[in-house]
Order: sequence, then structure tokens, then C-alpha cells
Amino acid sequence: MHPALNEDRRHPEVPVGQCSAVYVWQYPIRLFHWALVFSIAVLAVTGYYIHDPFIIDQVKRPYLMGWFRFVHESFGMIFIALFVMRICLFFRFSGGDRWVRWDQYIPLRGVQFREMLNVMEFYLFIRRTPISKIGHNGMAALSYVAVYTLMLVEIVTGLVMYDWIMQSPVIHFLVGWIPRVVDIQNIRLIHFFAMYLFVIFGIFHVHIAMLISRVEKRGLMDSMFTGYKVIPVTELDEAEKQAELSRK
Amino acid sequence: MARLVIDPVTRIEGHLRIEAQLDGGKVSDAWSSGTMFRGMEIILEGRDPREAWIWAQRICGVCTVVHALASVRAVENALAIPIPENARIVRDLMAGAQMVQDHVIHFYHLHALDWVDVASALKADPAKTSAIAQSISDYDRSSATYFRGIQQRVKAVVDSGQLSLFASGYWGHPAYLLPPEVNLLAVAHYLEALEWQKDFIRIHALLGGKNPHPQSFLVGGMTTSLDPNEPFAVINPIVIDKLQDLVKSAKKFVDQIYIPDVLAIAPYYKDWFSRGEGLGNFLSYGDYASDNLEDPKTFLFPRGVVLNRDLSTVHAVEPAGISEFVTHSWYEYSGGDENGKHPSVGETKPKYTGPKPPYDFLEVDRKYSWLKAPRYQGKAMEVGPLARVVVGYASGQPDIRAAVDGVLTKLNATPTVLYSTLGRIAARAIEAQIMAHRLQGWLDQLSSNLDHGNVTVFNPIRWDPATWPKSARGFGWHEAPRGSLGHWVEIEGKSIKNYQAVVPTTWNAGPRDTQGNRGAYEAALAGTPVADPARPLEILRTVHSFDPCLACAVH
Amino acid sequence: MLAVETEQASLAGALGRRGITRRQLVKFCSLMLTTLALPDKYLAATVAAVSKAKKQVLVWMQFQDCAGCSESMLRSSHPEIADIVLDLFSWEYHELIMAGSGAAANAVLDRVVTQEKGNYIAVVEGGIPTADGGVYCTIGGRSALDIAKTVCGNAAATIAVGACAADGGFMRAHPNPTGAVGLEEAVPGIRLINMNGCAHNPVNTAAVLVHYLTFRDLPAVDQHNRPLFAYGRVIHDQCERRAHYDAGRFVTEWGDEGHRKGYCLYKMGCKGPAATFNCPTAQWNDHTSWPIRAGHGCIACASPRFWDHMSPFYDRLPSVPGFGVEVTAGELGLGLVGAVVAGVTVHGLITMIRPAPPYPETKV
Ligand code: HEM
Ligand code: HEM
Ligand code: NFV
Ligand code: SF4
Ligand code: SF4
Ligand code: F3S
Ligand SMILES: [Mg+2]
Repeated sequence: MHPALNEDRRHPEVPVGQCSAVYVWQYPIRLFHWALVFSIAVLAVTGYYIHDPFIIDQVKRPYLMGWFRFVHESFGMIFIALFVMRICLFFRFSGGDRWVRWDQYIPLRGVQFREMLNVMEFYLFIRRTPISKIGHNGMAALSYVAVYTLMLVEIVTGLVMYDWIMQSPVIHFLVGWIPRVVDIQNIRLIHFFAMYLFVIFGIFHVHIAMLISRVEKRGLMDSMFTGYKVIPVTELDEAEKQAELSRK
Repeated sequence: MARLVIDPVTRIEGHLRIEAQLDGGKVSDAWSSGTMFRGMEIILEGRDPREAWIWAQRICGVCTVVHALASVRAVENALAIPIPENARIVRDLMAGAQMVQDHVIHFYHLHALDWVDVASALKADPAKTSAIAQSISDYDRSSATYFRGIQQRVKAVVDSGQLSLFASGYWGHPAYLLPPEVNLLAVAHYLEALEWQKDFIRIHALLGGKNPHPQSFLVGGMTTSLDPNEPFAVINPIVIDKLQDLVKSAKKFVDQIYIPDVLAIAPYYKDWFSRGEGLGNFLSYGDYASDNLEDPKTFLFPRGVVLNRDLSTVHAVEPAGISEFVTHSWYEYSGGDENGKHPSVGETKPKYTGPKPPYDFLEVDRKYSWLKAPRYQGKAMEVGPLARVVVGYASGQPDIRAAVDGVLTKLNATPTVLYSTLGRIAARAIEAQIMAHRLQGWLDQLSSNLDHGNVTVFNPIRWDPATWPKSARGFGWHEAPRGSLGHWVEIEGKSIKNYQAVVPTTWNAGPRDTQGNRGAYEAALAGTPVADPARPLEILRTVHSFDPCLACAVH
Repeated sequence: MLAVETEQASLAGALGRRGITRRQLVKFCSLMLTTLALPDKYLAATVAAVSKAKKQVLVWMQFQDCAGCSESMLRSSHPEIADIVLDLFSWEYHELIMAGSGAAANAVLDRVVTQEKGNYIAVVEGGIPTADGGVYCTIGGRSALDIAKTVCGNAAATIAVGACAADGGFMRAHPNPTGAVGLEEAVPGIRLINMNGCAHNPVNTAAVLVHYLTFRDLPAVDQHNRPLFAYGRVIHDQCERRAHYDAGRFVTEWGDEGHRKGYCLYKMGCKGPAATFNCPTAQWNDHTSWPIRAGHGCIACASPRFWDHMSPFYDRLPSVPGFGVEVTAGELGLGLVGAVVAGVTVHGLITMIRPAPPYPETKV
């Protein structure tokens, strides 16, 4: 039996025989996710230090601000690389993981809007029955669009500040015009404030992940580690059934 | 009867317009108008009171520092923050240096050309100029060769046909009375003063990073850290040495050039010891305490009011007696334009009702100026060097008495000559001299504090806005070069609710009030002879004697 | 060719009479080239231009100003201000210091604008009010805007000195009661260079003037029309306290030990990291000092619209729009995080206490 089909990850109303362990998140998206979580943690800590150098230690650490800035800027570059990688995944059609393609995120179909409405109703205790999806529901997907936008904002503002210091011709060409439109101090303000928005997203995100895991019993939390969710066979379409069952 | 308009009045700071009614070759009535408004008081609303000084300082770049000082004092007064002795000394050094430098620039670069005919200097015999120079002063640059060099330099400018700043002068005007030799002496010192002022004001760079608009004030003290052993402290023994050189140069310039020049020029213009008096009411807030500002008795320039030239009584200054009128100013007051308002509850609501530019004449019987009209207990007052000297003399302040008596003896005159156009020039020179010497005392004190390890320059108790009361009001006074300056601030929460500045030139150059009482300029111009209305040199003499600063006055 | 030579010969004589030797002249010119970051090969051209027979005509206009920029110019020491206003230029109009007033002054300006049309330099100090028909600044009964259009419109080039002329300065700051703007907006389309700063640094302005004399052209500018030689580098990167910044040694309270030792002023709100200017190298008042050396943070006075963007001056970042000076972005961010934590906790608790929901739906 596949470890994902374990008792406490299944809803008691769906017996084990009727469940399938579906490989929803292939390793690139999982790698991306945890690298992202880690880099945000590092960027937030080092960024906060840059904002307000709260440790002043002249004896043991003689290059403290320089060190924090170096780490921040290096992770900034990793962060950009991750963003680029994620963009590639959005548009990877052949052989890729269908649940992370761009069309899963942009609400274009009526069903996605209805999902959003139902999910909101569930969170607001208006609705008893939760909504479950193999990939993301419309609401979750939208929140990720917001996070990716936030990433872009952070990258652009970060690069503007980087350009201010480094004056690399390429970066300057890309973002050098921005301070003419938005003053450098407001760029800093946006960059700094976005940090709190990441934190706020993280809190919501983990809270909801835990909530959904608990009510759905489909192994959602584990899925970002293992890649597998527990899906009742009845909910799989034919092609998936073939693919999944063959993998068992 | 002809209406004479002088706009722009030049060799002043800012945009001043004088309209004068001429009657039989004399001014029968005059109106003083400030024609530029920026709105500093409005712009300060809602801002952090700790940075108000950075803004307020930009009211004026000629008397830079003084608004910064009045502003931090107002906020410190509102929040009850005592400042350390060193902070007081550094502020006094900076403000005192400002006063000396400002007075020198005024005399040579803003005022001298009213008395000195540059063209006539070309006719001088440099040897005679040299003899005159040596008879009045020990100043070392006084050889005939030196004056010949200056003369040639002026000649080169004149011969080029491009006279630069001098192109528009009233050269040859019958009111110029100096002999060519004295004119040459003055022109030489015009150039020397130009060189000296920029050198001397490095005192502001040392104590504030730059001039104009030095940047070292703080609500609660100064940023000029002191440390006898730290090479990067703002004030350390090396800096003290540099300051010492500059203070020495101030004493030398004032003692050997400025004062002798005033004494040399004045006797040729004796008529002007009885012209241009004006109000005869004098106000001085007083300043430069030997210990703290709460104790006016220790002030170098005493606090007081002298009314109708009566030197026998010095009235106390009641802060509540100050009010500003807008009857003839382009503002409106809630509660009616005819009532004055105390600056602590003052209002700045611009409302222009004058003629649409371009215009030829102002509507002088209605509103005609961007200046408000400050009054003390309903009376118009003159402020400035003359007011300080009069109040100080009447109060028996020993430095002022000695200096005034010294100058009057040399001029063979009585104190009444002070109430005049030339009197203002003399008073300004006298206080520049007192101040140049006082700088030394402060510097010595600072240096001794440094040696004794007294290095505090900032009081942190109420830097953090969390420590402030919900609301607070305060005012800060200062005797600026042009006279009594006051800033009033009201703080609510952590930001400024109301800010009002009543500035020396507002007192002097302000328009009429509700009762029709004239401001100091307007009063002083009455009776001024005007030989040639196309070249109104005489009017400029009296107006310039106040050292107008219109950016200050309107802000 | 011959004409040029005689002209120069006569000038060497004129300079000699002024007591300026050729050596001093060459020294001064090479100093200018250093400020402008130009190579020595231009030295001959500079010397020749500076010693021209007919002096370049210049007018200095003051509008909504504090005269601080004029005063700053008076502090010029290389070249000496007397040399600039009397010998290098024919400095014909400058209300602060010119001889004649009223009609005499206006006549000078009229003459320059008509007779020197297209040939003179206009320097402008102060902002230009545009609200209510320009009534907030008039000279000789004319509005500043009207005068600026005539004077700058007919000039060969215009130099906007100081923050006020460059972008409207403090009077343009919120709520801008007079509708003040800088020259670029007031008189668009003119040949213009901005010498931002409050005040401008005379070292830089003198260099631009000499550059103009030499090349009949303004130096290269950045996207805000400021000369690159002076505004091309971030203050923070040239700051003498930078080593302390990198090391994490900060002044944490005014007057503390770090303050006496000259530590970095970052935590006190220094805007050096956001400011481009050559203060650390050019310095002020004959290279005596600059604001950061005096122990106070930089307020980025040479940055466009600095009054609006760099205040609050004692906080590193601007206030969040709509919250006044009372709330910092950090406080707001923390507050929001707190609210979210509280909300999520409540939401979690409610979810826990209510009975487990039925099997989820997939069909919607
Ligand atoms: C989640 C992502 C990020 C977070 C939370 C974050 C956070 C921060 C914070 C709080 C600051 C201090 C702002 C201030 O107070 O002035 C900062 C500064 C900075 N960040 Fe980021 N940042 C992130 C991503 C990036 C990226 C992608 C770059 C791109 C290179 C970047 C480059 C910079 C730079 C150059 C600075 C200025 C450092 C300095 O002033 O020397 N950051 N960041
Ligand atoms: C600040 C930290 C975090 C950020 C920014 C973040 C971001 C994201 C993003 C962008 C996705 C969507 C991936 C995609 O489809 O493109 C995602 C999904 C997911 N994350 Fe996170 N994550 C964070 C922390 C965590 C943590 C701590 C956990 C585990 C407890 C977690 C569990 C998950 C799960 C289970 C999903 C899939 C959810 C779904 O299908 O709706 N995340 N996360
Ligand atoms: N305060 C001030 Fe003033 C004025 N009036 C001072 O001396 O010049 Ni600009
Ligand atoms: S830029 Fe600053 S110094 Fe210059 S005029 Fe404006 S306020 Fe004054
Ligand atoms: S004092 Fe200001 S400019 Fe200098 S290193 Fe520190 S933050 Fe940068
Ligand atoms: S305040 Fe201005 S003077 Fe220089 S150090 Fe900052 S740019
Ligand atoms: Mg006022």
C-alpha cells in the first residue's frame, strides 16, 4: 500500500480500497516551494536587519552589516532564479505537472469563480461542506497569483535598490528608469512593507493548509513534501485512473 | 503729487516693493509691500516637530541658522526640554557668528553702494587713500600700492564697458558726498569683505557641516559631539584651534575695518543722523544668556521695550502683548480681519485681493502686502540692532553702554543721533563689535568644558515622541541680526497642529494695522527728500538701513 | 586667427592688471577640470575661454527663494566670488547684490533680454508659483512665471540653482499652497541644467559655468537634468562613515559614544543611501566640512522633490501615505501581522469547536 493512503490521511467516509495516491506535485514544484520558503525566511531576517540594525557588535563580528547585506543580496538572486524557474513551470506543457500550469491560476472559467465563492462561504462558516480539488481550488490559486505578484514587486524594488548601489549596466537598463517614476524612498518603503505581506500570507497560508488537511483528510500538508495526495478513485477521470493505478 | 514705485528694491533679501507719494521733493507717505509668499507655516502643519527646524531654517538663507534656533527653542519650550550647556554655547557661537557675518555683508555689499560712488573711486589718489586708511586703522593692507591695485581692477571692469553688478548704479548722483579717496577705501573693503565673509563663515561649516543652512541642530541639543580624544568627534582640540583662528579673524575684521570705515564715512553724511527715524518705539526680546534663557537678567542683549524714545523707562516684555493684524495684508482671519491675533492662536489663510499682474500700482487703501502687521500692545515697534542698542543702553547693559559711548564720543554726538538712518548703521556696527568679542568668551568656555570632560551636547529625555504629552504649546525667541524673532508652535499627538513665525522684518516692513498705524519702514520714510525720482537713492538709504529681509518677513 | 591672438594678448594684459598671473589662471582652470572630471587635454581651451575679451553676460533671477542659493554662490572660493561676478562674467542682474533698484534694475533686465537675446546665461533661484495667476510672487508688478518665460526663453542656457528652482523646493511640498513648481515645469522646452541641493554647492555651479565658457555647452546630465559629474554617485558609497556602516557600528542615540566616535548615522535617519551628490568629496565652504561630518544625517537635499520624499528626516523610511507622521511602516506592518494572527486564531478555534464537516464536495 502506498504510504499516502495511511489511515489518518484518509477521510473515514472513503475506504482505503476506493482511494488512490495521486502524484499531484512533481519534484520541481516541491523543490521550488521549499527553496522559496527558505529564501523568504533568510531574506526577511537579513532584510529586517538592513532595515533596523538591531545587533551592534563591534568586537566579535567586524563586518556585520556587510555580511547581512551580502547574504540578502545573494539570496535575492536565488529568489529571482526561483521566480524565473516558476515562470518556466507555468508554461511547461509537455511532460510537466498539469496542476501547476498557468491556466490553473488565472480564473477564466466559471467553475473557478464558483469555487472561490464556495470556499469563502466555507471559511466564513456559511457553508458546511468543504470544497476539494486535486490541484488548487480557485481561491487558493488566486492567493498564489497574489504571492507571485508580490514576489515580482519585491524583485523589482530589490533590483532598483541594487542598481542604486551597484550600477550594473544591464540591471540599470531594466530598472534604472523606475526611480524617476517612483521615488527611491518609496521604493524602499514598498520593499520593506512587502516583507510584512509575505509574513501575513505565510500565516494565512499555513493556517488554511492545516485547516484543509484536517477537514479534507487528503494528505494536503504532506503533499508538499511527498508529492502525493489521497484522492477517491471516483473523482479521477479515466486517463488519471490509468496513470495512477499503474503507478501503485 | 506723484506716485513713485520702487520694485524690485534690490540689495536686500527678497521681494520688497515701496510705493511713495512725493510732495515738493519729499516723501509725504509711503507703503511697504512684500510681494512673495511661500506658505511655510501651512506646510509645517502635520509634520514631526523635531524636524520643523530643518524646514523653518529655509525661511531665509541670508539669516540662516536663526529660524532653526527659534524653531528648536519653540519645540523645546513646548515639551519642556532643558538643553545642556555645551549645546547652548554652540548655538550661541553659531548665531553670534551669523550676526557678525550678516552685519558685515549688509554694510559692505547691501548698503555701502548707497553711500559710496564706485565710479568716483577711479579719480582717487591711492597715496591719499593709503594715508587715510593708516590714520583710521592699524589694518595691514593699507599701502598705496594695494589701493592702486584695487583702483586698476575697478578700472579694468569699467574700461571693459561691462560693469556687471555696478551697471545699474546711480553713479554721480548729487547725494553722494564722499571724496574719491574714501570711495576707493570703501571699494577696497567691499572686496575684502567679500573674501572675508566666506572665509569666516566656515565657523558654520565646522559646527554645522555647511553654510548656508547648517545641519547640526536637534530638539534637545546639537549633533556637534564633543570629545577631547576622538579624531572624529565634531568638536575636538583640532577643531577648537580652527575656530580660534576664525574668531580672531572676526575681531580683526570688525575692529580694524568695519568700525573704522563706519566712523570714516558717517561724518560726510551728518544730515542722515536726523533723517529716517520712524516710530521711536523699540522692542527687543533679548538673547544670549550667560546661563539659561529663563533668566533674561543675564542676557547680553537685554529684554525690554522703550516707548517714544524715552530712555528713562524700560518696560518689561509681556509675551501676551504681541498680535498680528491682516487688515492690510492678503490674508483672512476667522472672526474678522480687523481683530489682531496672538501668534499662539495665529492663522495663515492667504487670500489675494490685489491687482492682477502685470499691474502698475497697488491698492494701498485696501490690502497691499503679503506681510502681516505685528503690533505690541497695539503699537507698531521697530526691532533690530537699533532697538537692541537702545533697550540695552537704557537698561544700562555695560558692554552696550561702553560701546555706544565710545562711538558717540568719536562722532562727537549725543545718543539722540541714534534715532536715524545712520543711527541704525552705527548700532549695527556697535553690536557686531560686541558680538565679535563675545564669540571669544563662548569659545573659551567650550574649550574649557572639553578639557574638563564635560562633553554632553544633547538631552535625550524627550526625543522619543512616545514621551510627549497629548498636546503642548510653546514659543521660541531669538534676537536675530535683523531683530526680535519668535516662533510659536502647537503640538498635538506627535505632529504640528499650528506653526506661526513673527519675524523681525515683519515688524519693520509690515503694512498698516486696523487703526491705520504705519509700520516702521513706512513711518521712517516720511519726509525723506528725493532729489531725482528716477534715481531714488535717498529712499533706498533709509529702507536699507533696516537691512530688509522679505523672505523672512513673509515666509 | 590673428584676431583671436590679439584678443588673448590684450587679455593676458587685462588679467595681469587684475593681479592674476597666468600660473594662477592655469591652476584655477585645472582645478575646474578636476571638479568636472574632465581630462587635462581641455586645459588650453579652458584657459583661453576664461580669458576671453568680452565677458559672458549672465543674469541671476530670484523668485520664490530664500536667497540661500545666492548666499551659497557668495561663498565660492575657487574661483573667488569677486572674480566670477566682475571678471569671468558680466553679472548684470542679481537683486540681492546689484547696485540699482526699481526702474534701473528693470531696465538692465530688459536690455539684456533684447540686446543679448540668445547669448546670455540665466541663472534661476527659487520656485515659481503657478496658482491664482501667479500672485504669490511678483517683481515690478509682473508675475514670476511671466518673467521666467521671457528671461529663460531668450537665454542661451538656463541654470536652475537649488531645490526650489529645480523642482519647486519646500514650498512645493504638501499641500503646496502656491502651486509652486520648478523651472523645468514652469518653462518647458528650454535648454536647462538643474543644480539641485538646498543650497546648491557653488563648487559645482562654478564648474558648470566654466564648462559653459569653455565649450559653449552644458555638461552631461542624468535623468533629472543634473550634471553627472556632481550627481552621479550615491553619498553612502563615498561617505567617510561607510566603514562603520559595513561593520555594523551605528549611532543609536544622539550624543552617545558612537556619535562621539563618528559612527554611521543610518539609524538616526541618514538619507545618504538614497542620495546622489558629491558632498563627501566636494564638501562645503572651501572644503571645510559637510553635514554628515557635523554629526547629522543627510537629508538628501540634492534629490528631486526631497522635501516630500525624504521627510521624515529622522526615520529611515517615509511615512505610509494616509497615516500621517504618527505611524511608521514597521508599526503598521507589525499591527497587521498581529491582527492576522488574532483573526486566524479565532478562526481556528471556531473550526475546532464546531462538529467535523461532512465529506468534501468536488463537484461545484
Ligand atoms: C521576500 C523577499 C524579500 C524580502 C522580505 C526583503 C526584505 C528586505 C528588507 C526588509 C530590506 C530593508 C529595507 C529598508 O528598510 O530599507 C531589504 C533591503 C534590500 N533588499 Fe530585499 N527583500 C526581499 C527580496 C529581495 C530581492 C529579490 C532583492 C534583489 C536583489 C533584494 C534586494 C535588496 C536590496 C538591494 C536591499 C537594500 C540593501 C541596502 O540598503 O543596502 N531583496 N530587503
Ligand atoms: C512564507 C512561507 C510560504 C510561502 C511563501 C508559500 C508559498 C506557496 C505557494 C506559492 C504555493 C503554491 C505553489 C504553486 O502551486 O505554485 C504553495 C502551496 C502549498 N504550500 Fe506553501 N508556502 C509557504 C509556507 C508553507 C508551509 C510552512 C507549508 C507547510 C506546512 C506549506 C504548504 C503548502 C502546501 C500544502 C501547498 C499546496 C496547497 C494547495 O494545493 O492549495 N507552505 N505555497
Ligand atoms: N529672523 C530673521 Fe531674518 C529677518 N528679518 C534676520 O535677521 O533675515 Ni533673513
Ligand atoms: S534651494 Fe534651499 S537654499 Fe536655495 S533658495 Fe531654495 S530653500 Fe533657499
Ligand atoms: S552616515 Fe549615512 S551616508 Fe554615511 S555610511 Fe552611514 S548611512 Fe551611509
Ligand atoms: S543633506 Fe545635502 S548637503 Fe549633502 S550630505 Fe546630504 S546632500
Ligand atoms: Mg508668520
